[in-house]
Amino acid sequence: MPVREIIAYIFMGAGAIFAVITAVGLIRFPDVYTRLHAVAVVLTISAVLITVGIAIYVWELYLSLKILLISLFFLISNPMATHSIARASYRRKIALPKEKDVDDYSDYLERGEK
Amino acid sequence: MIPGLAIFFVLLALLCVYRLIIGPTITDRLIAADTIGVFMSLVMLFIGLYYNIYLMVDIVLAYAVLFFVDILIFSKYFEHRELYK
Repeated sequence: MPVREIIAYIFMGAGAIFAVITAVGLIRFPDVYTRLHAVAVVLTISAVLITVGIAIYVWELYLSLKILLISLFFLISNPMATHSIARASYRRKIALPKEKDVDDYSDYLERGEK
Repeated sequence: MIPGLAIFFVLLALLCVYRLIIGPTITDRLIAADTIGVFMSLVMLFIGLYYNIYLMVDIVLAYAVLFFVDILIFSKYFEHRELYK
């Protein structure tokens, strides 16, 4: 097994570990916003690591560049989607956090509406 | 190693189906659908890598764009819901 495939498998294994953390967090976390945190942060780095690992594993110029384009798209799209979901969920009061110590966004919304 | 990773990601997506079914609010269902979409696109990449289907990369790119727009439209609909009554 050449060194390039070993590096690719290291990337894919790290991405698989982050994916396990995502699934367990999505099931076990108590609140909507903590689940959103798990999906937004950990799933993004998981998808980026897996696609970079596949791009190293394939190692042909245009195919690897296309797979890196998918990686860049995940890096942009997944935080945008989760941010949009969290914004809709907070502003329309679909789900509110159970215990809030600091809540600047509701103060901002009240100031904006007055 | 590659088909093992594909089966592993299918099992993780099945774990997320649990949250998709029991989720108390619509937000849980949306983020579970987002997670399943990302996992399934990675599974499609693994399948294309194992069977040497190079066209699968383009299909995954189109699929990622489509489910991103899908999640965005759903969240915008639930934010401006009173406009559609």
